[in-house]
This record gives sequence, structure tokens and C-alpha cells, in this order.
Amino acid sequence: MKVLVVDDYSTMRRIIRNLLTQIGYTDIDEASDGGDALQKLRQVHYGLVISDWNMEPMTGYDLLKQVRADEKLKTTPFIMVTAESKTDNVIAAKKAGVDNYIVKPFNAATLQQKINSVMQPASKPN
Amino acid sequence: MSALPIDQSVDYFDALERAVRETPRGQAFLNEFARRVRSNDTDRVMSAIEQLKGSLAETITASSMDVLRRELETMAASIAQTRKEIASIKPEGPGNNRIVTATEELDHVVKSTEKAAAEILSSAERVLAIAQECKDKGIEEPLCNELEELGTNLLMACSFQDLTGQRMTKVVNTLRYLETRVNAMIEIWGITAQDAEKLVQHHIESKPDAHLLNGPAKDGEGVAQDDIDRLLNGEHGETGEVAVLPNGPASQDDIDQLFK
Repeated sequence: MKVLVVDDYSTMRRIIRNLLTQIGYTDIDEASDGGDALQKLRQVHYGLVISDWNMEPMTGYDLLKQVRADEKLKTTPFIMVTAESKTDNVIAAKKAGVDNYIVKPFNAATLQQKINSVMQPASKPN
Repeated sequence: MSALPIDQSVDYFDALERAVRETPRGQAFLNEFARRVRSNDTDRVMSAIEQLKGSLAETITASSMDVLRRELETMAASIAQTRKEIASIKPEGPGNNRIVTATEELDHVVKSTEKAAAEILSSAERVLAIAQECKDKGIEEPLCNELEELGTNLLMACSFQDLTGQRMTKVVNTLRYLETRVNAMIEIWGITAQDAEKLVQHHIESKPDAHLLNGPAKDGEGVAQDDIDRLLNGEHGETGEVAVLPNGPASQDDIDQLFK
């Protein structure tokens, strides 16, 4: 299963990529903002999107709305990983259809737990 | 008509009044006389009050004017001070703008932490790879697991860079906004380069070594450790030239002076 990691900070993309590898997801692509991610999502099938919120020019929140509005992409599991930790943010993301929400800084166990909660058993790595 | 002697005046006046009151015409005369005297007294009292009022009003007006004048003076002084302070924030001339300098410094902090985080990440990745190699070779599993955990911890610790970067970006954006507002104020106040120059001189730090306190150097600025080593060892460069400081050539005499 392919995973798309979206973050404007290369450090964070690298951290998430490493954590994903550790828990068994090795087919990973990266995007540096919502627009870049949307383009990739429309070209390749991804089984999971892990996205930051605060990016330019397209934020993770806008990406989420675009994904949910797209007939072909709307069922793609989407986890928001962000420093935006206000209740309003979480509620807005929930309303927009996010599957889970992780606040930075986070640990490997939290990431694994959230991924497990949104993935169907068949999609999980062995 | 001369006044009555004091010792006789009261009795004499009373006797005269009684005599006059005996006739209706005399009584009418006395009543009219009393009314006129009262009226005259009232007029005099009213006039005195009016005078007092006028005098009081003049005093109050003068006092209010004084307060107003003082307020205006204070306001003018504050405006002049503000004008000076604004001029000192953003003096003319390249590299002399405090807000721009602060913004650049923060940009460099972001870049430096990004670079540091990348280096730590590389080490963490290597630790994780070694842990995996050890596992594959059947080396003591608890040790491998501990190594793996340490690598993961290092990895996670690097996420500070994202958070500090975001905060720095916020500060940088605020500084840029402030710069725009300061520029607008400078335009409104009509601050000249001369005003700014005077204030920069005024704001120079009083520490004796203030001119040496520049903080960490940016990329391409400052002196490389190799240059410093060469400088301290009195060595010459590959082409035989004396090691120089990046911000301008220093003569050997200058350098020798530094070590006396």
C-alpha cells in the first residue's frame, strides 16, 4: 500500500517516513504542500494520506476538502498531523472528513495507533 | 446739609420719622424712600457679584489655558520622541535596518536548525540501520531493541525543528508587518536620512566592546575556523598572502597589534 506524506518541512517528512518504515509501510511518497499532494493523488492510487495543516500555498485543510470533494479520492484515509491544536481546528477537520488527527510533537506509538485506527485490516502491513 | 451729631442722631432721627409718619403724605414718602434705598443696595450687591464672577471666570480661563498649553507641550514632546524612535528603528542605508536585520537573523536561525535537525536525523537513521543489521545477525535482541528505541527517540526529537520553524515564521511575518507599518509612519512623519543617522549614533550601545558584538555570522560572512587558525599561527595562504578577515583585508601590522 502506498502512503503519501505531505509536509512543507523536509525534516518532518523524513521523520514520518522513518516511522512508517519502522512499522512496516515502505512504499512512501512525499509532497511539500496541498497542491503538490493533490497532483500526486490524481496520478497514483494511495492507500493513506498523512498531511500537515499549515502549508503554503495549499494547506492540509484545503487538501482534505479537495480530496473529500473528489469522487475518486473521497474514500482515501486521511490523517492530519499538525501543530494546530485548537479545538476549532480539530472540529473543522472532523467536519471536513478527516479520519484522525495527531498533534505535533508526537511519538511513534501515537502514529502507529492512529494509522491502525483508520486502516482496514486488509491494508495493514504484515 | 451737614450730618447730625452722633450722640443725638438716633433719637433725633426717630423723632423726625415719627413726625413725618403722622401724615399720609409723610408715610408715603418714607415708604418710597425705603424702597429706593433697598433697590440701590440690591443693585450694588448684584454689581459686586457680577464683578466677582467676571474675575473668577478670568482666573478659570487662564488656568484652563495653562493646562491646555502644558498638555500640548507634552503631546508635542511625545510626538517628537516618537518621530526620533521611529527614525532609529529604520535608518536609511543598506544593512542598517534593524527590522530587516532581525528578520534575516531569524531566517538564519530557521535554516541553522533545519541543517542541525537533518544531521541528527542522518545519525538517527544510521542508528536504526545498525540496530536492524544487529538483529539480522542475531545479536542480542534486547540490545538491538534498545538501540532501535534510541534511534526512534532521536528521530522524534528532531520534530522540534518543525515547531520552532513555524514559530519563527510567525515572528518573521510579524516583523515584516511591523516594517510595513514603520515605513508608512516614516512617510507620514517625513523623517529624513539625517534624522535617522543622528538617532543611530544616539542609540549605539555603551559597552566598550559593543562594536565587536555581532552575534553568530551568516553563511558567507564571518571567519572560517581554518582562517582563524592560520591567523593565529601566523601562516600564509596557498598563494602566499596573509590570511584575511572576510569583511575586509587586515594588514599584518593590524594583526600584530591584536596580539601585543
